[in-house]
Amino acid sequence: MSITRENYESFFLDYLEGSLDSSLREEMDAFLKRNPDLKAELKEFEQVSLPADSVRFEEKEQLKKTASTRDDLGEPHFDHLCIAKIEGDLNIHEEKALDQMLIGQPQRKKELDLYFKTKLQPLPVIFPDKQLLKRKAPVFRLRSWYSVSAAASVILILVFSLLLSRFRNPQEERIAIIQPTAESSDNKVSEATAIMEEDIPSIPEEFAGRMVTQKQPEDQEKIDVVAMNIPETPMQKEGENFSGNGQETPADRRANLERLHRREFALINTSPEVTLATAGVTGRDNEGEGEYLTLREVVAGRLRSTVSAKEPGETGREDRITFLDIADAGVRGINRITGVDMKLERYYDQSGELTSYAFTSKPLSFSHEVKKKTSL
Amino acid sequence: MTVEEYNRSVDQFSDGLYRFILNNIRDTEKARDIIQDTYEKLWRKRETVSSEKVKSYLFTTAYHTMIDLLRKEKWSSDVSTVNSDSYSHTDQYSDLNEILNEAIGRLPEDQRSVIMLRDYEGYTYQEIAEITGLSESQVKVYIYRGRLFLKKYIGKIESVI
Repeated sequence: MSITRENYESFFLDYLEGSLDSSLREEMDAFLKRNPDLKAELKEFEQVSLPADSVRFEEKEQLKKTASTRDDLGEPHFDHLCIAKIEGDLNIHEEKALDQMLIGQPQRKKELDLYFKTKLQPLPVIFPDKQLLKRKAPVFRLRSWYSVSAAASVILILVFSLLLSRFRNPQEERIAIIQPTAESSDNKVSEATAIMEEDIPSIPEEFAGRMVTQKQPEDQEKIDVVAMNIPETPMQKEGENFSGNGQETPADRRANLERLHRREFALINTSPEVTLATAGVTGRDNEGEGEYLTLREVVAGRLRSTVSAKEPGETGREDRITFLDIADAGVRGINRITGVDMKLERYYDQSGELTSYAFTSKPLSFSHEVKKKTSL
Repeated sequence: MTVEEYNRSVDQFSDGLYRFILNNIRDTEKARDIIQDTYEKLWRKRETVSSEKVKSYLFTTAYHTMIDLLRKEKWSSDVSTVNSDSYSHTDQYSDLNEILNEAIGRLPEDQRSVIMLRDYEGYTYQEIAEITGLSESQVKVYIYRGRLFLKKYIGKIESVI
């Protein structure tokens, strides 16, 4: 690198501060000899340099930290030790230093006492809204109840499906046998006709009260349909064959059934207990006093006896399938499937009114009182 | 944390939390709101907050909720403006607690909080630093300055009494 008249200024500063290396210094000396005018300028640079700083900080010693001797500890250090004392931050040496500082210094002891007084003491403050903050655990019981109900419904559907499949067996669907009686030929049914269940018309309510029973030998379990003293219908007068003759067509059979609708008839029980085909449905009440049950009562009783393992008439109304019946059936079904032991028990008062029910299982049990309806 | 652990935290920490906030802001209704807000936040975060950390979570949440509230209301004061020589006291004090209570109220917010967390709850410097978001050295400095201020305040009052 060569020093020229264009770049000499930066080299001048380094030259004056002595930061040029030896080769550059020699080159600068040669440059100044070649340029005497610039040598005079360099001397002017030397004249503007500031004299050495004569200002001094006189309190240096107060800032210095030395060994923890009483004479060397200043006031700020004392405050620090006092605060560290009440905070429990002092080590053994600092404890000794503080003790040394307090010897023969009542004013310092008083200050240390003041520092101890700055320690806040917990006051008995009570938060008044605690109960508002607390939360309740999720109500699993309700969800379980819904789950049980849902499972019960599914099982109930399965149970009904099984029952209906039995009813639909062609050999077992026969629920009554219509046989001729010894009455007059105009009014009796001439020959027995098996009526399929789906073909049986519903018995009008006005006929229900006219149903009579007639004792027959016990080994004869059938229902005789006998005509009563009822005037002939116009259709009979036309000479149409009402009874089946073995050649009956479906159209004939339907026409005969329509006539049956128009005739008053009685179902005569020929046995102490009328059995609805072989499905095992008892058509009489359990007292056997001759009162026949409606189809609704029969189904409800069948449900209780088959699914809920309760005898008809044991509790509650016979003609109504309640929610508890369904739940009970579901619980029993779950017990059979899973092998767990759950119970749904009902409690009745002396008049037979449901008062409460209780569900019992290993993880959960509860009971619920049924509200009684008050009659006005 | 479970519902039982949450409810237990209400029993165990709500009083201390309420005292901490109440002594800071000196407003009963606002202190209640902050506590309820804090526990509402805890309930929403209960799946992630363990029962061991619940106290720290509560104080941290309550502290920052309080700071947010104070900033909204421009209620906080500047540390540098506090001058222990400039305060005047005309109230009559019956005991040291009242004097100290008065002095604490005059402390800057940061100093007041760290001293209360230290004295009321016995937190370490590191725990206070985690709750307040300050560095550990800042916590020490604030405690030092706060104690110094309290000592001078008490000293002056006692000398008057």
